[in-house]
Amino acid sequence: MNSKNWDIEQMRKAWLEMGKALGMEIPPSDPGNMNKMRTSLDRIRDRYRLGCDWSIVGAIVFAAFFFFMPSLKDEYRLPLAITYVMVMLANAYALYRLWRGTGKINPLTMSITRVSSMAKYYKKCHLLYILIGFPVAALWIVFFMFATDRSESIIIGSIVGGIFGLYGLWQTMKDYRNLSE
Amino acid sequence: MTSNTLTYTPIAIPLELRIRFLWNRVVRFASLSEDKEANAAYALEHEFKELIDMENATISRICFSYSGSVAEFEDLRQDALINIWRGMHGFRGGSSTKTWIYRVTVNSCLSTIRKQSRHQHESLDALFGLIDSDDSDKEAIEQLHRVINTLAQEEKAIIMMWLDELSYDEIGTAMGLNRNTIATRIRRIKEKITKEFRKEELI
Repeated sequence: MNSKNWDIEQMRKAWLEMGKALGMEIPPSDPGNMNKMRTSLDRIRDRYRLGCDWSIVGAIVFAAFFFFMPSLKDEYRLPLAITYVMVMLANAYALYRLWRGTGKINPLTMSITRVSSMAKYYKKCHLLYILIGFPVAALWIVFFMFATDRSESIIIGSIVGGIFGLYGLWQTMKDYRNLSE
Repeated sequence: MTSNTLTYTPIAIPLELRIRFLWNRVVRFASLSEDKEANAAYALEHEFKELIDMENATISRICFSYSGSVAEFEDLRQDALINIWRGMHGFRGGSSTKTWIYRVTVNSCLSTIRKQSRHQHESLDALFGLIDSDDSDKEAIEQLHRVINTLAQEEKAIIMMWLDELSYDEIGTAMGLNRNTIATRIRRIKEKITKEFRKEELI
C-alpha cells in the first residue's frame, strides 16, 4: 500500500488487518490461575506498599544502629538519626499516598477519560517522587560522609552511585517533560 | 351425629434416624451448592473463552497500538485479559460487548504506571516482527502504528474505536464524553492524521 494514497478505508483495512496479522494465541484461562494473576498496576501497588512498610521498619532499625556505629563522630549521631528517620518517614508517606491513590484507579468501571487523567496524574507523582527523592537522598549521604571518620570508601561509593543516579535522574526528567507536554 | 375425635399419636422416631435424616439434608444441600458453584465457574470460564475468541483481534490491536516493544505488548495483553476476566463477574450487558472490551482494554493499557522502553527503535523493529502478513500489508500496518502513535493517549483510543466502526454514542459511553465532543474530537484527530500522512509522504 502506497503512503501517497492513504484514505479512511485504507486506514480501516490496515487496522483490521493488524488484528488478524497479530494472531496471538489465547493464554490458558483456568479461573484459578486467572484469579491469582497480577496486573502491572497491582504489581506497582505491591511495590509501593512494600516500600512504605520497609521504610518504616528501616527508619526504626537503622536510626538505632547509628547510635552504635563505631565509625561515627559522637556529635553527629543524634542529628544523623533524626534526619534519617525524617527522610524515611517522608518516603513512607509518599509511597503510602501513591499506594492509596493508584488503588482508586478502576479499569473496569471508570471511563477512559477518567482513567487516563488519573493514570497521568499518578505517573507524574511517581516521577516527582524520584525527582525529589534522589536529591534528598544525595544530600543525606553528603551529611553522612561528614559524620563518619572513614569517609574514603563512602566518597568513592557516592561518586559511583551519583553518576548512575544522575543518569537516572536525567532520564526521569525527560519522561516527566514528555508526560507534561 | 357422632363426633369423631381424631387422636394424634406421635410416632417415636429414633434419635439416630433423625440425625441421619438431618445429615443427609446437609450433605445434599452442600453438594448442590458445590455443583452450583462449579457450574457457575464453568459457565463463566466458557463465556470468557468465547468472548476472547470473538474479540481476540480487537484486544491485540489495542495493545499493539499502545506498545513500543514486544515485552510491552505481551504485558499489556496479559493485563487486559486479567482485567476482562475480573470484569466478567460484574459485566451484565448495559453497554455493547465491544464497547465494554474497548473500555477495559484501553483502561488496562493506560493504567500501567511504568516507564516506556528506552531503545524505542530496536524495540519497534522487533514489535513489527510480530506481524504475520505480506509485505504491503505489513508496511501499511507499520505506517498506521507510527501515525497513531503521534496522537495523545485519549485521541488514540477515540480513533481506534472509530476505525472499528463503533458509533459516536458507543465511543462516548466508553470515553465518558458526550456525542458532540466525540464528533469534534474525531474531526480534529482526522486532521492531525492527514497532516502526519502528508509528513510521511514528504519523507
